Amino acid sequence: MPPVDDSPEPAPDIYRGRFESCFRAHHARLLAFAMRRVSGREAAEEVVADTFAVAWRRRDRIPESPLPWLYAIASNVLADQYRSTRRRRDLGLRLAHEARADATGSDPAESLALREAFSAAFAGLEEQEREVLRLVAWDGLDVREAAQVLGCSQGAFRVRLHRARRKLTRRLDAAKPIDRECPTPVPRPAEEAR
Amino acid sequence: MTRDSRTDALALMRAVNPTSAEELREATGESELARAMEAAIAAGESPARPIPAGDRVAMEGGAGGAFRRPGLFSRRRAASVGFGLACAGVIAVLIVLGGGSVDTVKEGGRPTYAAAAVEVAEANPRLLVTAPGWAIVHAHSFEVDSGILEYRYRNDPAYGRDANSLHLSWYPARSYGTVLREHREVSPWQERHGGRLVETSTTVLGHPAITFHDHLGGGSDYSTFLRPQGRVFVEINARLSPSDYSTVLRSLRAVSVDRWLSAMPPEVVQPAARSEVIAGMLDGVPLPPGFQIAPLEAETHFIDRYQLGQAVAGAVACGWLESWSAATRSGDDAAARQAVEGMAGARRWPVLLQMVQEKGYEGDVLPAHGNGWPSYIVEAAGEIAAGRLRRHPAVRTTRIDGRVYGEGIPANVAPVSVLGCHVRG
Repeated sequence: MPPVDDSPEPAPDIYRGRFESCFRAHHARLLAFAMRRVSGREAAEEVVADTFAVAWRRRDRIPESPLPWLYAIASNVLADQYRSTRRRRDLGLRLAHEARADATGSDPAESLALREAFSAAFAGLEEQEREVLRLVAWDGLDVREAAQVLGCSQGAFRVRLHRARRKLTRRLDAAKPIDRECPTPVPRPAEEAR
Repeated sequence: MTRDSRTDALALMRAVNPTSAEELREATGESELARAMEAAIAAGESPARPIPAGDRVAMEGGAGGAFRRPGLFSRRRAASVGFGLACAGVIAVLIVLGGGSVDTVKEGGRPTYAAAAVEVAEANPRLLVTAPGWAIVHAHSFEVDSGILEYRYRNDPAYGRDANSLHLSWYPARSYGTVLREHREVSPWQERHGGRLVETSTTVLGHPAITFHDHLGGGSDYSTFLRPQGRVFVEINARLSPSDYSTVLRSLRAVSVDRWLSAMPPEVVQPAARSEVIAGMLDGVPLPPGFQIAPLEAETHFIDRYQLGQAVAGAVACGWLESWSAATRSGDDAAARQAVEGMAGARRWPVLLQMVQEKGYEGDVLPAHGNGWPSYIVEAAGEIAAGRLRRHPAVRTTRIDGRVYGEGIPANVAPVSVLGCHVRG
């Protein structure tokens, strides 16, 4: 016999439509955000569920551009989970190993070299530095949004980003040279110039 | 060349991004998404579920943008967006305040319609589509200088949101040239989609007009602009076949004020139905001590359900808030508690839900915190629950022709100010 869900249906309120739209629009990006920071899809889905549970409680406060707001909640959820379960292993290292290299070209040797160079360099950063870089490079936020997520000023974020970027660059350069050049930098509005 | 001069750490990181949100989105089915959403809501509803108390979400306080008036122009198609935006700037600074701040308009010689509705009608060419099957289903806005009536063809078996709908709109006469100029600009997007604009001069009911026929994407989109008559000019817009559109234009009739107003949809509340509508709005809403319905029933200014909803919900909320304020000043804890309880469920008051639905406040259209009128009531409820009802910063107002208008909404405005409550400090 299938389980019967007898929990009462939440009563509608004036903010439900906004929450639903926010959920549908940003669920995938939030899941990607979580998967870049925890081990395994299941754990990431748990982070997303907890994040949207908080968002539901605060649905009267969902901002016009909710993504940085959601990321900020997710960061708190992650911090809480880290504290309570010590789930965090060496995420930077794991992610670096899982990093996809296929986007840089079809040469497997190049991809492998690139991935390994990145793995080593990224793992050598402080977690705070990795997070600054993740927000901009992987989560697609601009400086203003990323600063909101971290709860700091844009100026402070720019400084952190500059330092982390420089440190990563130096570590990459210090790694064993590869035969072919790195991908041509693609100008993005999120970078320090903004 | 060494890596030193070429390495870009961020570019490299982007190239090795381990997780693609796009791929996750494509891999997640609708039912899975719906289940996840319901689970999140259930978890959020559960008081036993621990939620991290991290407070960086406090930045939400700065999320509110400028006050904007929802509704007007919100459903216009892209070709008229420029005009809509131009008007929005004007509208934003002249907002008739909700609640009890408007003056009662005297009943004129037409006792069956709201005086303000008659004012709209008298300034309008009052065209009706009389072709069989067409009926006005919604008034997106209904004001003297601007309004949008949506018609639907009810005999269509494929009756749907976009099936055979037609908009009859009116705008300020002074905007006629601007609107025509903007309409003649074919956007790059339209060009890419095969848009081809054919302009012809014509007459509608003997009145000079210009018709644009847009063959966008192989379709057939018509807009006819009648030369201004008095304060406004009229636009008819529809995606119809040439023969159907011709039928519609030929069926247009200029009618009397009474007949025009009688064709308006239910949200344009007629006085005969006002008492019943008000009673329905109060259903499920706890009423403050001494609440009087009669002043609401006697008010003839409100034209549509939304405005009436503002008056009704605002009167109830102000009743509770003023009661709380008085009780707090006199130390009447029981009365203060009663007011807090009366307002506690405001976010679920049916009248507010109805207003949200009528204005299309759904999804991204629902204004963020601080931008939607219903949210001010919820915010005020939160304030008295927390034991402090702010009176400042207040809405900046101005008085024009004896009526009070909001001139500007300061950031973090006190909700009682927007609601128009008379709360003493």
